[in-house]
Amino acid sequence: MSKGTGIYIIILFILPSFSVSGLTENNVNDPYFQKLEKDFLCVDGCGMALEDCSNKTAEQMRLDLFSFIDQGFTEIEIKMYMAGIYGSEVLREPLKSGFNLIVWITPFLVILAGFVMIFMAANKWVFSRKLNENKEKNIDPANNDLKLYSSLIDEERKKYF
Amino acid sequence: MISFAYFSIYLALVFALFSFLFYLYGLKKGKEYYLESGKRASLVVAGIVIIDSIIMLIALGSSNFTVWYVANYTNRALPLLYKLSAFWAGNGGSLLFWELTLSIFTVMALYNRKLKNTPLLPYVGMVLAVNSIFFLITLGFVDNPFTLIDKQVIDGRGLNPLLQNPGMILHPVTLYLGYVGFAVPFAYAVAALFVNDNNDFWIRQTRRWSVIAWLNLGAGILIGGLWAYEELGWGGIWMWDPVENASLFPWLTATAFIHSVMMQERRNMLKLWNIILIFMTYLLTLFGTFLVRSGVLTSVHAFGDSAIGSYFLIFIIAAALFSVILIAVRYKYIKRSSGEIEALISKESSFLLNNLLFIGLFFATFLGTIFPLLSELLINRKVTVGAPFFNQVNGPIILSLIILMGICPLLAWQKANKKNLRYNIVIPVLAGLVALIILYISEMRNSWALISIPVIVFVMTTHIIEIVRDTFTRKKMSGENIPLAFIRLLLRNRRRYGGYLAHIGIAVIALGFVGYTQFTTKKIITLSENETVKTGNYTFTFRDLKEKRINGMDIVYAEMDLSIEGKFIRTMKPERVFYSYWPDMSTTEVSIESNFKRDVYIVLAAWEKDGRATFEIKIIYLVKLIWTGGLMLLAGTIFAVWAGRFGNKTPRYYLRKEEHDV
Repeated sequence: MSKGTGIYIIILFILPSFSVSGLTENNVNDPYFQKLEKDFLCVDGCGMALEDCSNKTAEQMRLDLFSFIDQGFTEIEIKMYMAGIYGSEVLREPLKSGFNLIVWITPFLVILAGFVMIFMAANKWVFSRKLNENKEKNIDPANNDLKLYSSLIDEERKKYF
Repeated sequence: MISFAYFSIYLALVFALFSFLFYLYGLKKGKEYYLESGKRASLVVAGIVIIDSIIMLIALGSSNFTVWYVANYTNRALPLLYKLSAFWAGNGGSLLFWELTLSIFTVMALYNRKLKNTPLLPYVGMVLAVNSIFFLITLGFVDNPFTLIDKQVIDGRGLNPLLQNPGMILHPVTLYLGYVGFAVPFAYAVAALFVNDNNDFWIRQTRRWSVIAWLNLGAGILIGGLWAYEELGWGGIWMWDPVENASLFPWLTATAFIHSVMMQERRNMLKLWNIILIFMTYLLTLFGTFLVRSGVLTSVHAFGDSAIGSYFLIFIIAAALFSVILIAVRYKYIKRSSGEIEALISKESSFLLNNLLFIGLFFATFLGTIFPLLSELLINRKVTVGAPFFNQVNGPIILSLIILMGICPLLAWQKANKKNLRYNIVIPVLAGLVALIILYISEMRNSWALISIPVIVFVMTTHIIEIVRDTFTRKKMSGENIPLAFIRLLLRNRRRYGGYLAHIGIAVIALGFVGYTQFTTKKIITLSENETVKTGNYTFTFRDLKEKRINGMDIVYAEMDLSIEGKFIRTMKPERVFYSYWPDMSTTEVSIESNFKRDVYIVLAAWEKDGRATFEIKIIYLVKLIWTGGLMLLAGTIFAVWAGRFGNKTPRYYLRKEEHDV
């Protein structure tokens, strides 16, 4: 590292890292710690996930997170404790209970309702079409030949488009 | 010159108002003269806005700090390319760029010879003029980018360091081209409803507009992802941030639209649905801008300005009300003579399912994005909805869409032959199963990978087999050799095979995302000078920490030797950049060693007085496939919209009214 302005920058801009915040390399590289880090949001308004944030609030949150892991709390307990300290906004995934169920269930209900509507409409069209075809067959026996020729032409046409 | 530009915004507004009124009066009186005047007024608006944009570029390029916008977003040390790209760095410039694009598109749409003498023209002109009026009002009364500063400024504030990236040059431009591009099909759809045009004329006229707008929006999203990947602090390629989601909303509804219009073109179906989709897409482009500009949601990409946000909100509400009322009034005309499905197993059904899933995906993303606002409003508690939620809810929907993408090409229009379907699906299914077995034998136990990779293999095999089969059919029929048969096959049905290439591109992107989301490993290490650390096959040796000064930036960078399996690859140089003109902010420039299998991604996180430095090292798998798939998607789409000799050939499986009459 060159002297002069470089030293100034280094002293002035030493960034918070695990070594100065009390966490060890083993702590931050623990897969369980990294997995849990993804579930929390830094709450200082930066909008970043805890795993991507390096500001002071995020460092404190990491310390708290590790202390809960160290005390042997389960994943759910850790989430509850973190929500207790930092508010429910800290959880990146809404809890699957109460009012939050709306956001979890509604998309699938909408898709299911859409699927039922499409199926019913398509079934109605196909059913009524078959009904008409049967009627036509009863009226005009020559129509069968026409249908046959028309379906053959359709098959041929579809091969090329 | 700047004063002229400042006042010409109001002049353009007057001409846009004239344009609207001329069309209105011309329609009322049935006089061609006024309609022609409306068109000419649009031309004048475009002319003024083009001149204003040139003046803005000159002001930015020449560091004319008498202009507030130039002083606020650039400085003397900024490279010329970034000075010019500051055009869209702030609200006023972005609005001017939007209006520039809109006015050019308006002229292109109105002077299209196919629209000449059609009853749609005045309505298209009116709708686009209303859009122009809105943007010129916001420009003139909220954020005029030509506002002058009354005091002397020696140097500007400079461009936000996060925006000093090549992504800044392309990402906003492509996104805006996408957003504004949808105004034209929207205007045509409104016009079609006004004149009770019950056929697919508006669809045929706007197909290219829609696809090119969709393409630009998609390209903008991908470039944004690449930018966020390289710029630490934005959480990687895609983190389901509200602002990212805002750009995805119209892309999803537009994707549903470009599929469902095929149903109208070929089977005369889904007329109402297509109008709803294009209305939704247009409204969502405005909503996306509102979300970005209003700052109502917390985002890592913050560009908040509440004043502009409220203007957008009013315009969106007005446009939505207008759309709903128009559809309600014209409902019976749209519903008349609409086609029906003939068989449950057919291409039509698969398109309906495709639309359902895209809308479901949009709805899930939309609800998740606005849920924090909704919860605050209803239960007085802001619930955060982040990536883990979106991955869980959207993951299955996206997987279903990919499966459908593999089945759809095997289905015929009207009615699929079940025997053929069974025969055609065997090899792709087997290919998927083989992929599953190989993964399992290779001790892969990640459930997402075990499900999604076989599905992706199935989709790719389906498309490749279809192309191979069609090539051999052509060879058999025409007697051409295989390469010639292949090329001619592609050229004679560009829409189909361009679409296939786009589908394969999507599958490749999906494969990249599986690697990116499921197999990324992260390690944070602190090293002293010349200390080596080994992680897996990768060896990292920290050589030195250095500093350099370029264009007012102090750059601290580390030299780190990377070896893979004992073989030296290269010296990587992750950086941290400090800006003298932006003292409270620094950026992290990552160093990436990339190939198709994996990226080695190094971040210089921190350093200590004793010379030790802390690095964040990630091994990210298959990420290059995301960009490669994106290029395939672009190439496929361009191929599909390319006119060519056979470009516009669209078979119809129904008769038009006039054909019936004949």
